[in-house]
Amino acid sequence: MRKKNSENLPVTDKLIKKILKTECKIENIPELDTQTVEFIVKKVVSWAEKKTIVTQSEFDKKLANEVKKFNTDLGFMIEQRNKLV
Amino acid sequence: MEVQTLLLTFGVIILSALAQSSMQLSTGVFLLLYRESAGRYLKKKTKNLLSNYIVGYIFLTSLLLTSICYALMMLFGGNLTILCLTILICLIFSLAICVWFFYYKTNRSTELWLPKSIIRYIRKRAANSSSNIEAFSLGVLSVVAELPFILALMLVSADSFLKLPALWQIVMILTYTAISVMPLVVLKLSIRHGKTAAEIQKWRLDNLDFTKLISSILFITLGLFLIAFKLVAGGF
Repeated sequence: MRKKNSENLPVTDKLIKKILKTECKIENIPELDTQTVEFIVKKVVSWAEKKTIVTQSEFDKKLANEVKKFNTDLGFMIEQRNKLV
Repeated sequence: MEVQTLLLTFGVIILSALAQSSMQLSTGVFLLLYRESAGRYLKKKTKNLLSNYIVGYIFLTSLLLTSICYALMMLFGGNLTILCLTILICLIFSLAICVWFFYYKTNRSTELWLPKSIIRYIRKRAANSSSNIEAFSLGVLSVVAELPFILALMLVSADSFLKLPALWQIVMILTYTAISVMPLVVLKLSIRHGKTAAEIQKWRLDNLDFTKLISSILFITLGLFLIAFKLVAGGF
């Protein structure tokens, strides 16, 4: 039987901060303040720790939901970044 | 050359080129390239990469059309047989159905129903495009990936081109290419005028059903046009 390809994504604070920084640059908006970034990182990392496997789409969705609380456009683009093609 | 022949050829070309321009792969890859380069490079470099992507798209579209014209000339003497034309029309009708039902993975995202390996490769190439030549190759690649949908359109257009004198053939090939590349030019202009990737993607998502409907209608109209003026009327 063919094994389903569900790669585990190592969720780290470095990865989340990098994504947030890049997405802000792409959307041409000022970077989120440190407090907000730390809040998002804490939420997403603690969510990931509870799960055995974190897929890319699950991670994008969770991160997008957290970011949407502060910036809707930014959150939307994080959710869509791997769904363009 | 008769005015009627010119008008009918023009009709086939406009419909085919519009159908090609309504395909979403090239616009998706364009947006992907924009995002990847905007996140890493200065605005000027991003603009250069996007321009080269468009040039790559134009290059392969016109080259393919010219090659298909040459192949038709060599294989069929510049005139497709009724059987070939019938097969192509059937293919165009099936493509209209495919666009409506299978082109997108779901009704809530712009992800296309392409093999995962191709999508992965396109994403990898978009992420690694750092030079103009790589962006140009990505434009070429997006046309190749779209070929299953646009080959039939190019074949019927090439068949129409060959009914015209040499100079008109060149004009028509340029017209076809100009129409098919229009969405990419519009996207580039909107980015230049301050539209963000999020706004463009939101528009794509909001109008997903509309673009699907337009694509299907264009394919069906082209099929009916070919039946009416090529099969029933016995050619131009």
